[in-house]
Amino acid sequence: MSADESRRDKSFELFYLKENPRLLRIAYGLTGDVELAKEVAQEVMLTLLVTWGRYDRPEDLLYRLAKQRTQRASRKAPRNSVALDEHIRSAEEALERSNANAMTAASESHQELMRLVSSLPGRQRDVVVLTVITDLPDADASRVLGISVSSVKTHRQRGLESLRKALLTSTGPSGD
Amino acid sequence: MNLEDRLRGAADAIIEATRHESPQDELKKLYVESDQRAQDPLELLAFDHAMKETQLGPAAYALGVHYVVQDKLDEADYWLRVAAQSDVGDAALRLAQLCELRAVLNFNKSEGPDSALEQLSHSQNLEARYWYTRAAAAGYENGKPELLSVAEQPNEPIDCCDHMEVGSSLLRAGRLVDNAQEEALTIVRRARRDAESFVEDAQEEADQAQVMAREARRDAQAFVDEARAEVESLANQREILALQLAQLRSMLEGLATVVARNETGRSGFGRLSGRLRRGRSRAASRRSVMSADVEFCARIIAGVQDALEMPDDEIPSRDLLARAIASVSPTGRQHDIRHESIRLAESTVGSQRRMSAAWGSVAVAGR
Repeated sequence: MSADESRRDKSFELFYLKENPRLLRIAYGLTGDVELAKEVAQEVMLTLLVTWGRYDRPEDLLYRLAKQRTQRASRKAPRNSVALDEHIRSAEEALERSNANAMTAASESHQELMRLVSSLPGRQRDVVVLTVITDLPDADASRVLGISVSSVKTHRQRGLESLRKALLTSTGPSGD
Repeated sequence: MNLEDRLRGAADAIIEATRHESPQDELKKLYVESDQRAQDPLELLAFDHAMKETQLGPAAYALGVHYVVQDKLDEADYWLRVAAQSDVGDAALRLAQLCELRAVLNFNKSEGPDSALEQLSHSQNLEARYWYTRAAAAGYENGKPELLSVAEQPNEPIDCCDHMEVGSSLLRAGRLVDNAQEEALTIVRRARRDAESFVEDAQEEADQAQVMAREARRDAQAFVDEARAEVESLANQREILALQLAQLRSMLEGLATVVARNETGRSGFGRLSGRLRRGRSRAASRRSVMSADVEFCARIIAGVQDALEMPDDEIPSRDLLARAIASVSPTGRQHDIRHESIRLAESTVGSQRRMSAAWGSVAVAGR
């Protein structure tokens, strides 16, 4: 074991292994873009690693940091607008994927669903991401968002209703 | 699969499909990148700033609410604005409410349409509208305070000082009252529903009881009617029997008188009565051998039969009647008998009750 490895905190490692999947879901729910979500998740974990031990309840900070990073990313480059190099790279990747038959109809429908989530009104999206996609209990979501448990329920209900309507509109009555 | 399961499944499926490394490898890469970026003081500062920014929003919100409770509206406005810009909780909503309140206060204090206070009030109104729109965009119902439910109020009690404790206690008390009112209304609604259901059941049972009572009354009436008809029938039978008894008694009296007084003419009596018994009807009169007495007596019998409106076979004591008339006839008082019998035949038409009188007359004639 190297000296660098020995100074690394084991508690962060455990935290990472436990919380990273949830963080990825949060970031994906907020951005609607899996690649961007991975970048956001990595930045959040880096921030926590650098400042590790200074703040209580780091799991509550995941959501706020992810949201902050998402907002910065969208301010830097609005969603769905990418640089030319990025276009070329994604076109090449898409071609490879198409050759390998990687992109299936199922994954397209999943992506469409997640895009709909990211297009919900802010508070509804936050609640749906936290309580539905990452399965966080209502009480924890209410603490993270700073709103009451009843508000969490209300926003979730409205968010899911909006999603149902959007799904019906995009795929017809048999969509859900 | 419901929508919630679909959402979870979609997120997991896409994340898993795009994962190329194990979590341990990702962690190693993270450590490497952290080590590299930690060398740069600016990067370290940026990380630190990011962490502080996540704390700023909730802290600003708490401070803003604190100042609202203390009625320090300028300070409250400032910190709520910071919180709203950090997208914390319902800061936008509270800020909109605060702007609206300040606009009203300034409008009430203004001296005229062009006064500075009124212009300030106007701009605060515009600001309130802007923050309401932000709140609506965040998912609050229409972003209008009058449409906000209790559920959309903040839940975190902030009691860092006496003022805040009072304020949050009042808030909590208000919520408790609202909840109690809601529960009371629910209980009242439930009780009313139960009572209505109970009354409906009772009404139904009362209707059924009424139907049963009506049926019982109808049955009893039918029973009474039947009994009454039976009693009337028995009374009629009794009356008929009484009449027949009177006839018999009368006839027997007449017969006794005739037998006692008429010593002679035994053969005539026997002949006449035998003819009458054999003849039994007016058909007998068609035989030429029948004597005038027999014909006369047969007429009397026929007259009585007509008066009684009874079939020939049912004439009571026809035999005795024939004997009685025959015994009277040979005494030579035919005129009296004829006269009396015609009178009786005419006067007793349709009247069974006169039978006894008729027999009484026969008895008198015999004497």
